Amino acid sequence: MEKRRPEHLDSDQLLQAVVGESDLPRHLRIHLTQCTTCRQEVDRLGARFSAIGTMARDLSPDALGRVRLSERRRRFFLGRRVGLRPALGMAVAMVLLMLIALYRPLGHRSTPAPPASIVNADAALSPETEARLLAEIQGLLDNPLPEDYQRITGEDSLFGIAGDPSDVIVPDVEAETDKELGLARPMKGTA
Amino acid sequence: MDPSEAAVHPPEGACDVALIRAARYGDREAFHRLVDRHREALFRLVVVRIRSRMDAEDIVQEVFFKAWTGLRGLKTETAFRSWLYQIALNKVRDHYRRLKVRAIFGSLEEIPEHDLPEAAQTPAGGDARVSRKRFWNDFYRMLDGLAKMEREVFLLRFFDELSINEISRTLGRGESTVKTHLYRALRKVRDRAERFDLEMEV
Repeated sequence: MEKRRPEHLDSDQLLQAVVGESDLPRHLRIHLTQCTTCRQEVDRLGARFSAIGTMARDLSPDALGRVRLSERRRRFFLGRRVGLRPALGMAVAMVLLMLIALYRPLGHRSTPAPPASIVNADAALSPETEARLLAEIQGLLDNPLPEDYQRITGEDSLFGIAGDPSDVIVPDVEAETDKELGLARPMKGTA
Repeated sequence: MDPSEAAVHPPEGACDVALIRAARYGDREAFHRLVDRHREALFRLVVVRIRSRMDAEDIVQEVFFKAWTGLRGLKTETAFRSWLYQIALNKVRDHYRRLKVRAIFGSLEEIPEHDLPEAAQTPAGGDARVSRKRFWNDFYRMLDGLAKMEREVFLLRFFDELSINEISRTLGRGESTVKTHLYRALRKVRDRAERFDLEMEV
């Protein structure tokens, strides 16, 4: 009896063959090896899809510039390439540790005791010495300049005039009467 | 000792695997050679998906920088291309997420769905420009009719020229899943290509 030749591949089977011939049923694979019509049809279909891709590639724009790794994007730390985040994390951790280290002694620190010489200073002063020191302090408050300077600048008297020198230069209007100044009081409405 | 000092520069014409091994030890020159090999294809992958040349340039840079920093984590050197494309597709997704956020906050009216790659706007003869424009219009309209995964699988197979195995690795799906999506995509493309004049272009 003559062996019957299988049917040609239908359109879906041809597509299946384009996707992958190995997934076709065995009898169709055998048919493809023997039937030139089906083989040509599979190749033509595959070429058609490839041509769409080829045309799209040909009509695509070309890349403009070259791509190179820039130096600034590489970061090295202790001889090993690391990202910025670990280094930043370490820096933050160190700052926090330093803050903690500084804060703790400050928080628990009591006022240091003054030296014994200062503590006993009051007790060591006699009443005379204390009075003299107070007088010196008062003198400095009244006239902080040394005596020689006071003479030069005339702190105690300006050209022999005792009192505040500004009194001579700028008379105290409130304190003196118009009569004493030799001026007539302005009439009402003439000012 | 600097790692790059220990590395031996691979010879001219060295395969990807040799360059990857050298780059893993800090050999920037070897990595730059890898970049030069894959840059154009990667740029095409990105520009066709996001439809903006300037953004594509930026994304490709980001992809290579991420690849450089993550090269030590690459388990199989032979899967470098899939791994690179995986990074690129993730960046494309991030790009669309950013666009969505911007659209929410009103800086964009809407996400551009039908912007053409700028090749269609480059100086060229009038006929060539029209032909290009028509092709991209048809191309995107054809892709719009596919489900997301079908579209991605179709592009990766026929535009980016990845094998089924590479697509499987890139998308993190099984090969049978990829084939199923590809089969569905081809059925739709076959019908739509005729409708959208792509048949004539081909």
